[in-house]
Amino acid sequence: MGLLDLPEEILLLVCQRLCQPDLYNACLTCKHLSKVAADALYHSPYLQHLGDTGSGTSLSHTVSTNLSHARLIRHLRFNYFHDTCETPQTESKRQRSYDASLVFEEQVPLLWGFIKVHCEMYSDTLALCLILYYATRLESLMLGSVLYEIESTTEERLTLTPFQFQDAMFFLLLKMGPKLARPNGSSLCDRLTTIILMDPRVGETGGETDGETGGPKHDLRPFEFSADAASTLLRLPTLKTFIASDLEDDEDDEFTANERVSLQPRISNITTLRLLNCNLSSRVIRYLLRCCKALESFHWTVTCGPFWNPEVNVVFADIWPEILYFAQSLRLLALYREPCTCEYPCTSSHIGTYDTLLPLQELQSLVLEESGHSLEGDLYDEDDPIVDHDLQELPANIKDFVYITYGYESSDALIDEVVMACQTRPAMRVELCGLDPVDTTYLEKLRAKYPGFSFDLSTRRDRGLAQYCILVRQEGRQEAESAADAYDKIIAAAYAPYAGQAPRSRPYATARSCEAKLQPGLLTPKVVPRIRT
Amino acid sequence: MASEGEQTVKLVSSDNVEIVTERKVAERSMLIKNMIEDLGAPGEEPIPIMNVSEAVLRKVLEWCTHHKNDPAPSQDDDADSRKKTTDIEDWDQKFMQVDQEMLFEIILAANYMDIKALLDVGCKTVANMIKGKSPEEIRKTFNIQNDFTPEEEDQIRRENEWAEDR
Repeated sequence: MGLLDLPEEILLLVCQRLCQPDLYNACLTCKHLSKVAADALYHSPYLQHLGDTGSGTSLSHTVSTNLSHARLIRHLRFNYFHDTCETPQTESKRQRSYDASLVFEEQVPLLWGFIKVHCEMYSDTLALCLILYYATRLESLMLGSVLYEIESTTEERLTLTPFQFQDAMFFLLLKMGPKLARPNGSSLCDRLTTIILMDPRVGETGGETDGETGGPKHDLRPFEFSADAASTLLRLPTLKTFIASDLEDDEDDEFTANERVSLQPRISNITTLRLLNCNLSSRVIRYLLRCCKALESFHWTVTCGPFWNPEVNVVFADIWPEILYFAQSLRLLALYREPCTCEYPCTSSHIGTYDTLLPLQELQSLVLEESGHSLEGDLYDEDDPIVDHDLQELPANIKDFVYITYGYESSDALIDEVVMACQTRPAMRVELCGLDPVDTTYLEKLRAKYPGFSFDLSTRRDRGLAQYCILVRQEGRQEAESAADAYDKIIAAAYAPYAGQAPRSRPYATARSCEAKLQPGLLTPKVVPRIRT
Repeated sequence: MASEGEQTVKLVSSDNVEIVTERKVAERSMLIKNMIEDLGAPGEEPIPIMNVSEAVLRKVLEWCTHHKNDPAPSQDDDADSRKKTTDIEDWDQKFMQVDQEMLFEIILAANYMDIKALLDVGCKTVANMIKGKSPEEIRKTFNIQNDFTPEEEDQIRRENEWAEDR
């Protein structure tokens, strides 16, 4: 018995564990293995370097000439990096770029007309357009990179593409999609359940910021989120998950101008909405929320980053009525607020006390982050906390409470309060993140002081930061899947197709595996320096 | 009455050899677990494992014995099937150091007996044997004949060029 005697379904399992270059080699081995390896290869193409390196153009060529390969594509991941080094394009690559435009002009004149008007003629732009056009069974699209390959030697030479690229992609996908008939008669996006627009530095599982400024390492322009784009996105009938970072209000203030005409309440089937590091005003957030029918998971990070626009006004209380609409569906709510670095009072995040959450009857997981606020004494900045702090007031339906701060000493008073809260809520677990310093001796002291409670160390990677957290829960607590677990599964499923292609780590390490690696002594959380006022 | 952990079951291989093993060990196989539940009287009726020879069955049971206390696989394990190929426990790596024929037989047995974790380890082992190798090296490793014409090979090379860059 030899390798080729294995049934195809088992050979496919083998191939699914190979990365793209290995699949490329497997395709060249023999006809039988080539067929199976191609099935795995085209299931989830991961285009790391576009443009000059030609991989996008090359794939677009293949899918436009080989529809059977195009039909295999279920997941597509683009990193919109662009190598700006003066690497001369080979003649063959130039030829392919030229051919891509010819294919467009001949086969998809409507699309070509749109691209000529709206996009600059980058070969990678054309490539992505063609792939989207021919990949009739595409289910998820990921633009940008969540996994930041720090080890990559070429990474240092990369900067992001001109901003027209991402704009063009988004508009192409959303604006033109419904109008285009594809080879199988389907329209673009008719199977698309997940769209992720992510910048490497705020990745779900890794990232890197500039050590000096706390800002992005690369010169990234945030994505301008217009009312036009938003309303089209929200109309995609199959879309369930939208995750994006670095969205900002568009300069023309289209949301104000168009709100009356384009707002159609409750048209969207999105259930998971995650907006990270966004510079969106309350008005835009309200708009998005108002369009959702039954949101289950909402995560919003307010930022005052390098691209902060002083005219963007964020008032938590303004959006709160929209959140309350999802009283019967919302299971996870995560509100993050970056420390304000500007001189204007741009953010008002106060939403009251924990009682405010009472109407959200299905809420199981609550994540609050208050970067830059002290845990010593008052838990929050008394001038502008998200919630007035009294853990005893947490609604009984909340099973997971994650509180995140950065770089402050752990507080015995806080632990006392958490334990008291858990005593009256046996099913609850509380995760305190960003405490510094934490050591295994400290955990042992806590275990001795509070018998019946477990204190475990876990790690959390969020927006590029790895932090140590203390997980507090009653011993014997019945572990049930929480909304946060469910969200993790969504993320894991989104990245699973690319697991063989790049390093991947779980957003949460298990407490046991984390602690096993620790030696007694101080731990220093990997907190990236941040700008403080 | 013996507890479930102490109970034994009789398995019969395709070459008609009877093997007695702990029920807990045998139940790593979902096929056997379901048969035991259907039969209702474990230990009395021999359970035929039609497609697996004695030598392979003993090897599979050796793996099941080592992993008998592992947590039961969840559905999420199935969903997240694309795992890194290098992620194989030391014991499993040593266990899989067998000739290719036995390796493929173990994989087929794991598939037939519905032991997902063993199937996963087997597929990862084969994937690791492919990883980093050129087409010619893969052919040599698995004794595969190149049945492409030069034109066909060139076409595949061009079609899949996008995947070569990374």
